[in-house]
Amino acid sequence: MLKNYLIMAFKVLLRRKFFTLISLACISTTLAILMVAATIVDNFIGNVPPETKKNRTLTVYFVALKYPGEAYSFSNGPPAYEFLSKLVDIRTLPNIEMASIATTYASQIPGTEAVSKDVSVHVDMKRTDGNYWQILEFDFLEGGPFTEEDMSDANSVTVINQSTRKKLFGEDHAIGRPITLDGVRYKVKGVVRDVPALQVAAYSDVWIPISASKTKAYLSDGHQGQYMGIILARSRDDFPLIKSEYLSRVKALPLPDRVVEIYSSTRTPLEAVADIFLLSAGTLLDEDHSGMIVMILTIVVILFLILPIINIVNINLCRMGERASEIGVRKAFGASSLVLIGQFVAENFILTLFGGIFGVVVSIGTIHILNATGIGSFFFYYRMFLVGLAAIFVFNLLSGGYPAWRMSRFHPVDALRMNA
Amino acid sequence: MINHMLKIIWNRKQSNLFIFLEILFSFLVLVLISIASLYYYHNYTQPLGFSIENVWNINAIELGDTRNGSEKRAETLEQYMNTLKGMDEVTGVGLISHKYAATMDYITASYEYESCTVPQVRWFFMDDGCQDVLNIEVIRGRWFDKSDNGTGIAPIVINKKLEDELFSGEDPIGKLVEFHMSDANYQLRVVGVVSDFRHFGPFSGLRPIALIRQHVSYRLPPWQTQLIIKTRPDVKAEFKAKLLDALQPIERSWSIDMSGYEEAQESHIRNRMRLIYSLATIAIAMVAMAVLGLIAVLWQNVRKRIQEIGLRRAKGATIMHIFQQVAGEFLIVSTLAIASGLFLVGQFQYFDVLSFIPDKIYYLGMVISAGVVYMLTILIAIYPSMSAARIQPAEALHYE
Amino acid sequence: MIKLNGIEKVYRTDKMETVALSNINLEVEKGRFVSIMGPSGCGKSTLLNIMGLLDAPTKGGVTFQDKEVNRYGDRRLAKFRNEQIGFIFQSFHLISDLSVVDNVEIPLIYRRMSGGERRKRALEVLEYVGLKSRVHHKITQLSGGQQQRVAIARAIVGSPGLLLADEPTGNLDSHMGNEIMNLLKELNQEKETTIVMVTHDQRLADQTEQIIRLFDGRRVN
Repeated sequence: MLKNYLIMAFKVLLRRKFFTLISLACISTTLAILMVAATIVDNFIGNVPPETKKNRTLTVYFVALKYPGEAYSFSNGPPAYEFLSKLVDIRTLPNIEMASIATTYASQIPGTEAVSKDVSVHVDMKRTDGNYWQILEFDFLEGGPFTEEDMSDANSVTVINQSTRKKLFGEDHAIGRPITLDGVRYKVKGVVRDVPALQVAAYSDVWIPISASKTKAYLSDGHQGQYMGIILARSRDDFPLIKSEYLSRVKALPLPDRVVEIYSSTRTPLEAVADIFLLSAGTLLDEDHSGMIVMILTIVVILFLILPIINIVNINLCRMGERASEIGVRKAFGASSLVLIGQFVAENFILTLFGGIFGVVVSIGTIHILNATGIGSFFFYYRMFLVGLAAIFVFNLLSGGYPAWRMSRFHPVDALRMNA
Repeated sequence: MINHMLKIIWNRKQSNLFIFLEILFSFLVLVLISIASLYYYHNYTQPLGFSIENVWNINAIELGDTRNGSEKRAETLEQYMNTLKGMDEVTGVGLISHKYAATMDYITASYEYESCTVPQVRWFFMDDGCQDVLNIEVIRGRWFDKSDNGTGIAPIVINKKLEDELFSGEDPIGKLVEFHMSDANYQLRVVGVVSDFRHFGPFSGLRPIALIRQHVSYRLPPWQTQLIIKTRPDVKAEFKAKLLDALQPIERSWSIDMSGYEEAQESHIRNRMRLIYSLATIAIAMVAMAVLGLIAVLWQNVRKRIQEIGLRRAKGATIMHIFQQVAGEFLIVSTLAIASGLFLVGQFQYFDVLSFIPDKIYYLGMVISAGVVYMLTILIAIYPSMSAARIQPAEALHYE
Repeated sequence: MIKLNGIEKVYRTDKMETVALSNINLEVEKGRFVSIMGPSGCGKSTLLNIMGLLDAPTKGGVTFQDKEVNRYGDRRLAKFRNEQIGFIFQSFHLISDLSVVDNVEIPLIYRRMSGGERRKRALEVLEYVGLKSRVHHKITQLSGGQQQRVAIARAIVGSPGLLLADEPTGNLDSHMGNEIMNLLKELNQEKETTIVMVTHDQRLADQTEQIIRLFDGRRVN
């Protein structure tokens, strides 16, 4: 039966080449746009180098202090180093592989000037520890990361990225050479490939050990500051335990002056994205908003799909209209409505599949162009093929289902009379 | 005639419904993208109300985890400012609460004068020196100066938009306004009016804006104090290093970060244009697909009626008649779709859902999109009609 | 074999009712060759469609081998048509996208049958109707008479008990028409297939065993 569908599908597709071409173009453009968008989202929340362990990673990036009074009595900001390392001590949470502390997202803290000889460039700087380089797997072009010893000995070493090396040293090697950051001299220990700013934990231009900062001010007391915690769990199954242990440690903290409550929680990548987009809308700090963001994204995708789907439905209705006689014959010779729906959906599926394959090729090409022109630097993963396949399937059902149902409802007598 | 057409359309309502929807959604996509582009373009052509030429932002911040800064923070800031003022290349030094073109970073409050309240007013803290740095265009009254010291009531400068909304024709200079933010209420005295202060970048729209005087001694939190300077136009690249050398020794526990207003504007424009371009590309691709799809559908309708058309030709119908017959129904359906689209979009405008977009732009966007969709539908109709008109009566009757 | 009891068919539109058939009773016995005659518009095609269960009567019942088949649902009806009834149409209704043999295989597609078996049976019936040499041709390459032979092959490939032919020679010249008529008679005699044929040609009707005459939706005999 399936083989017959396939033969019929190819025959029909070849007969109306103009229709087929338009359908293919429409399907592949739509899917290509979807795939590019999905790749960008995937780069936000999925495992992408150097954030290759993101699916087992939890982050702490906010501490909110509640003051008495009704409105506007929250103070929300990144946690302080002391909060993460002493007060809650994320390194001793249960069932974790390791934990790291680093300065928070580049957009939330000021950058600095990097100077080498007489070249001075504005750079984003991250201060972090040795574990950071274990949790995130950077691609080192030369040298290597600084270590926990560099952190504990406060060695003035730095890791810089490729474009900073280019700006400061041209095409030369950078290992061992000095640069001045914030007026302090550091020795370059490693050079890593650039990372897109979308990867909030990994992105920076230069990295130094926290302890090698210009001052020891990071050791001062406080709950809020400029840092984030990165926690690598042994597996996703440990998330609930880690999350609840973290929450109970926060609950147990003594309250600072005037503060009535401290809020802070560990976030999965998706929850973190949801917070960034939705937290300002007056939502509660401790709640998980990832369901909301998934819903919003789904609505956006559906809105985007409406026009192409109506287009294909129109073309399909038209295409099937001229096959009335065939439908009549098939019904007369024993095809039930269900069988006919199956046939038309299968035919549409073949069309969608071809369009989809072409769309995947186009989307990979687009990603490459985006990367080559420096607009972004995204990784295309083979798991995206699954997304593409799912998209093809859904697209097929939505665009082929209604016309197929309409056609199967044709009364055989009318169908046979129609285009005699 | 029209009645007859409408009847035909109604009889084939199911297939016409999808053509209707396709045109409606194409229209909505076009309206969305054209209103957005027009809005951005309109804003881009408006004056900022100040000048960004040779202006630099120096973000000097304490490397500590105390959010409100140390006791001697104000002192350090003042030292920085004095050092900067002493430099030859620097012609002005100021203190402002926000970075340039930081569109997501703002604070709002509502302002009240007599019985009139303007909510959602975005406001900045600025000091006396900002006028020299940014060349802000004061159209009435004056900028902050020393005479504002010790008056007990903080002075503010408002933009023209806020003046219009709050004072409706009255002279605002010297008037007291109420400032409400959450549970805080203050009285402020208006000392001047500026044409505008679009510090959110060239794409930001016309908004009521208030500027409140600050002074380095007010000890505002670090995230609300940005140093800004204006340099002479002839300064060289080495100046940056020189400036860092001069500022860094002042306080070891501070970090200094310097970025140009012009640079910030460039990257802001680049990012926004990229967004607009990609959205426009997607929109155009989608509408183009819809156009091709509709051509195919119409062409198919012509083929279905090829005999009928041939017969009409044989009976002496003119090409115009044929066009009317093939395209008439389609054009009526598309007119209905555009009318529904205009109605839908009109609802948004009527209920002021997007009140920050000027009416003029709204209407222009609607007219342009309706015009484009109408032109497209005529184009779509032309090809199938022409091929129908070219059918020779004899050939048509032999068809199949 | 098939029995119609008090069949009535009324077409309703907004404004009026058209009675296409009223109170038709008839029985066709197994192995018979029956023709239905009448002027155009008298309801003979409607009657044939009701016999073939393509159309439902407004009133009355259809029994096929003592089973009340007009109450069947869509799937059972489809299976029933597939196994018991073969159709031949005036305008052939072949699917031009498919080759001769693919067209003939259509009824077998809807049965559980291997591809090889299907092909074997299709070739057998094509040989029977004398088109063995045209198996892989396209439909458009065939003459009208040949096309109708393909249609007959398609109608009999599933060995149905009842063959319904709606003006099978209507689109053919008299020479080809005779050939098709001979083929139908041969089928009736050799394979004992029951045939009901609609025609307005007295000459053809005379060649059948029984003539049912319709006028204005009523049986007149």
